[in-house]
Amino acid sequence: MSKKRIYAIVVAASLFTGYSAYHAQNKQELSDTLLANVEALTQDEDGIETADCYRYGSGSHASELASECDSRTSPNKMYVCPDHEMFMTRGLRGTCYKK
Amino acid sequence: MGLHGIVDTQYILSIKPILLILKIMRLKLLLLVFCVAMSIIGCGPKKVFLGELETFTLTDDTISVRADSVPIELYRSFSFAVHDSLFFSCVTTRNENCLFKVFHAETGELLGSYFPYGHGSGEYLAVSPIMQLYEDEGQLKSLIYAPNENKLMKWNVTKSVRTGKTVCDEVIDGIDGRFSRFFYLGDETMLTYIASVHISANDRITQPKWQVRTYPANELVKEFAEYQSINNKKSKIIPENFFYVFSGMKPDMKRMVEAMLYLPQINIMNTDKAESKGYLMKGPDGYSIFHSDMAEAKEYYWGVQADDKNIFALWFGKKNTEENYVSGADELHVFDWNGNMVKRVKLSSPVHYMSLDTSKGIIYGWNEGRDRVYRYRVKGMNVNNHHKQMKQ
Repeated sequence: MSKKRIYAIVVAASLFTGYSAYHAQNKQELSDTLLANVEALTQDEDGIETADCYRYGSGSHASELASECDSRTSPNKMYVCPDHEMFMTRGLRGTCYKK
Repeated sequence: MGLHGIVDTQYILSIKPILLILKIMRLKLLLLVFCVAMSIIGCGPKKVFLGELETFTLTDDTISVRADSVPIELYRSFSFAVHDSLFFSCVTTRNENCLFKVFHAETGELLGSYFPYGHGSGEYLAVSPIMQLYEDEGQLKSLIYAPNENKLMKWNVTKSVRTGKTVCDEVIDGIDGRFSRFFYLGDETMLTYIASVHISANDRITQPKWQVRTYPANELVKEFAEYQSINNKKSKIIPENFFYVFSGMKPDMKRMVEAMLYLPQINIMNTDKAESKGYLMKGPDGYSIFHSDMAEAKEYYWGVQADDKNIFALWFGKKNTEENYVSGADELHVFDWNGNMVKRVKLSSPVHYMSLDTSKGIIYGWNEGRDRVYRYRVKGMNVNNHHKQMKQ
């Protein structure tokens, strides 16, 4: 085997090892982020703590102490609960999750 | 004799078990009747209003009154209160640097801004609307609740207006967020309201409750509920709002009145005994509405205020459509403190919210769409003739 061929094989092997290591590291980082997110949302194995929130009731006078839902809240989506309660007319009821 | 004796013995032997069986059967029958009766009672409609309930007839005695306009703009406010020509506007937080603005009711002059908004020391994220203004040692005061800071404050309005700063005589810490209304009853007691809420863990609707508590120690004295909660899943209106009531305290603090949003009913509460009596308007509208999908539910009362002699309830009486809402409420129902309907007062300018200045005898109303404040003089409503007639 000529020196040139051996040199080419070493360079190719180094490149492959380097790429694999980089790829593995990225994969690890991604999976760590995902894990952290899931962990934050599920709070270990106890599950995620939720609460009721309300949309502003239009044209109603029933003002009570309540948490206002994020405006994007829908039956399929929930967002983080607001950090404070306020006196508001309770319209439709939704769900939010506690930080 | 012996034969007789044998016969007797046989007779006794045969009749005794039969009697015993009959006795057991009779008991069983009684038990069966009792069970059937109990199950019929159990299956019957549950009493929703837990106090004594009477009916009243809508009176024909009607009077029309004309309004004066007041030069106050209430934009960004959701409720207001007036006493001795001091006009308190409750500002809807966010982007505002205070939660109460006080105006002079005659001139519209801004006298001051109180309870600054914010996260810092001496600032509040939200405070309760003014439910009651009362005089104590010659000074005007009100109980104000800050739910996020868990503080209940005895706001000294007189000192605050004089100094331009928020002055509180007392601050009670650690008041949890179950309460939404506070009324001072004097004699170191207060009346607090716990609104109906939905418990998501078991999908339950709690009963709205009133509590008499000591002030300032905040210890429970009495608790009572006026309504049985209903968890109606087909309702278009959330069931925790079904028994929403507006409340107004009699100036002597011995009685309180409530006016229901979703039924034509007022309740008069004896604050000493902690019990209520309801007065429901005669007609087709009753408690069965709370078992329907509430699509046809009307809104009846939009507010209630009271002085020593009368109760003034703002009557809407329609389905709350966009069109109906914009037109506002143009009628007051006036009652005495015995639940008798005294008068219907037709208002020249419809309003959405109201407050009674008991010291001046003026009812203020705010029309939300027009952002105009109107005032109506109680004297012009001729409501006190009723009391003179009652005395005679």
